[in-house]
Amino acid sequence: MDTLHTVLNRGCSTWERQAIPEQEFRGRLGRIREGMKESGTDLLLVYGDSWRYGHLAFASHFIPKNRGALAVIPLEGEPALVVQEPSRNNPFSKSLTWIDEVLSVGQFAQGVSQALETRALQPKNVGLVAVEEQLNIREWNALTKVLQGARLSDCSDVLTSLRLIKSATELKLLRETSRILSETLSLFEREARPGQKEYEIMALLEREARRQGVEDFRFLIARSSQPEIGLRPAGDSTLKENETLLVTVAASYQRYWAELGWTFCLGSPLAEVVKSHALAKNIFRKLIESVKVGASAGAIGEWLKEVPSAPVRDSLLSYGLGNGLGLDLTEAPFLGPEGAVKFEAGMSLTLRVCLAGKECGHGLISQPFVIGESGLQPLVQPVEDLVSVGK
Amino acid sequence: MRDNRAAIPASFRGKLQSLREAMEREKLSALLFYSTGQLSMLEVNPVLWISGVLPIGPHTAVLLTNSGDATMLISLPWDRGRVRERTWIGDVRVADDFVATVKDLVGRKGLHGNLGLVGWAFMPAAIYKALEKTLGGRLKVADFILRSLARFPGGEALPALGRAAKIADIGFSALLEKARVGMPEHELAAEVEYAMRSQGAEDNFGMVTASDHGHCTHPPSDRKIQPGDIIIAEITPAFENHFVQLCRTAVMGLASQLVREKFAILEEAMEKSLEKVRPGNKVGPVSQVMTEVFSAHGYEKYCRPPYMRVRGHGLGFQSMPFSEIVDENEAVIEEGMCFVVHPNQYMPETGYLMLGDTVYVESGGARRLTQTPMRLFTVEN
Repeated sequence: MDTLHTVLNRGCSTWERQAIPEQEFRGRLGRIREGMKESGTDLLLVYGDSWRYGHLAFASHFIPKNRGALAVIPLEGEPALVVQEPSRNNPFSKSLTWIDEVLSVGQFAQGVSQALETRALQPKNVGLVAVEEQLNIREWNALTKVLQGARLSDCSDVLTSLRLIKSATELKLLRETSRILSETLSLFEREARPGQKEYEIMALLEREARRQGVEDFRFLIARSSQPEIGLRPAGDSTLKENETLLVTVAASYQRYWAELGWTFCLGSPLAEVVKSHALAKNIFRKLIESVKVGASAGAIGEWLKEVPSAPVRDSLLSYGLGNGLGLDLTEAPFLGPEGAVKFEAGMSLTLRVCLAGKECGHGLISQPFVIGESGLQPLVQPVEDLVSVGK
Repeated sequence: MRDNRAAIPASFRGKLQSLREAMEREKLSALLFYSTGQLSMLEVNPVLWISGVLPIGPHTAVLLTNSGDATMLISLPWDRGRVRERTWIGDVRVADDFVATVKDLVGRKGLHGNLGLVGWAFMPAAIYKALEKTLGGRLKVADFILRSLARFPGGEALPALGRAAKIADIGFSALLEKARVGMPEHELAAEVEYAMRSQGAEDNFGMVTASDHGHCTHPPSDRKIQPGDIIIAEITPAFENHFVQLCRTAVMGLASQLVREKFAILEEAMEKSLEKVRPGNKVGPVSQVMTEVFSAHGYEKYCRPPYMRVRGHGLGFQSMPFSEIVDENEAVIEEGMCFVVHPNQYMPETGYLMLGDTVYVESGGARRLTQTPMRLFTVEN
């Protein structure tokens, strides 16, 4: 689920070589090059910024802290990484990637030009991944001048398809992120109390996650006392006795994101809350049952037509039933009418049921899974029940 | 369309009047304020500035016509309640297809003249090209309008700036209190972050680094703090979307004579540069005087890239007085501007040292917003 972006990915910034060794990236590079050959591309440019860096991190493991970076991947020889940053940051940036040649530049065109010159390359067919979609028009105009004469084509699909099935290394990292989030969200149960400001409890959760080494942390809350407003960042209003709180947290660890959402009640839940949460739980169980190897992500929403309440349907569709999980907070496959992917073993997903509103009540369950041959396997101990706080 | 123009807060009424005058001057039928959703501390966020709402999700915009009619486009349907609660704009729509929705709006509102685009510098190429194609030659870059109107936070922002400064002080106090030998950098950063977030900081451009010889500040790693380490901290909390920055240096244990001597040069540079912050003065001399101080001590070479470049800057998301504080900046300092002045400096004997403060320009000169003393700190535990 999208959240408010932050101005800096300011958490623990390392490359844990034991957790994700260079060998993993060499393997990816080989597969990327196979895709390049199939598409007739002799140079691939992969862009990422501090907001969306999945494709870039897949190729490089680099995480842009507050601007962007571009991986330059020739068909042969070593790749280069162009980072928009002051040159004094270069040693730090080099510590975050397996790519040896890191060029710190003011403009991407300058870095790409330098990388091409060093390699004596004059590419004829340049594949672009997330470049046109994310790079700003000013940088784009300068970059296309450097690539003048070459045919430019979008190759985002090459990386999207390579990222769908997670390796054992990736699943291990996803489990670790999920574990951290589970411990973090458990703190809410122990620490939240009436009278506390939303940002105070958020800060406690954030500290826990950051202590455990996450690179970025997100928190959204929705409250039954404010039914007109959905999930949003923490504010300064105080928590109230007996209200229902939907809390979703997300974090990245070694570039791998997970999202977790639980429903809390401060005190004894009202009957209507128990009812709406039970509905959310039933829908979540149905969602789990429907995700199977061979099923289409686009067909997942089919049974939503059978949900009799329009406000419930609207809420489910508004927040989304889920999406892929990995190097971006939301990535393919996307569940719902527009999803085109067929599920395969090894895909990782966030499944989400969120009811938030005056007419549909309140209930949130969001959990990470990996698809196995025999069904979904949770990446962390599932919590589907309403969590009563202070009772 | 819900028309709530009567309820427009005074601060936005002033902006709207200025924008209408600008549209008339530039012969524009409307302005499109755009945000990707990616946030930068070094920029005014166009959508926040005009709507009062910080965008969540990609492709958020406000279309404001020269008659004062406004429509806000958001991308996340579940965010509509938050947006409606916070903005003066009555017409808030969810756009599944941003470009198609803009095209539709332009048609429905009968806009025939040129459209000014505010936020061009950050607009992704694909979106810009699609908009340009859709609107023909009618799309004109209009970032300069926002640059000229958003140079001052305004007097009404002073309480928020004061609160952000107080939070920055709290953050640095937490650093001094929590730093321990053996503690990983990122855990110390988490404590600093916690101290500020639990006081209401909405965001933080925060970097805490401990090293025996640093070359720059950067987000923390898992390196464990060692005795004698120099901790450099760039702490930048936001409150009500105004950022305030504080840069300081602390030594783990007693600071050596060498470090104290070198830090004294930063103090001298800070003092002399603040004297240059006066209404009517140019920005360049604020930087030049720092270079003069460091050069007099033999560090001229280290005042240029790759060691140093920028000596301060404005702070978003609500105002940006001028571009960076560098020797060449010819902009004139005016009363009511707010920016950070930081004679941070790499020196080969000590590594990178930091000292900087956010100032608010008053008739008599710079008023520092934070209370943390401008000196070298030590952590003794």
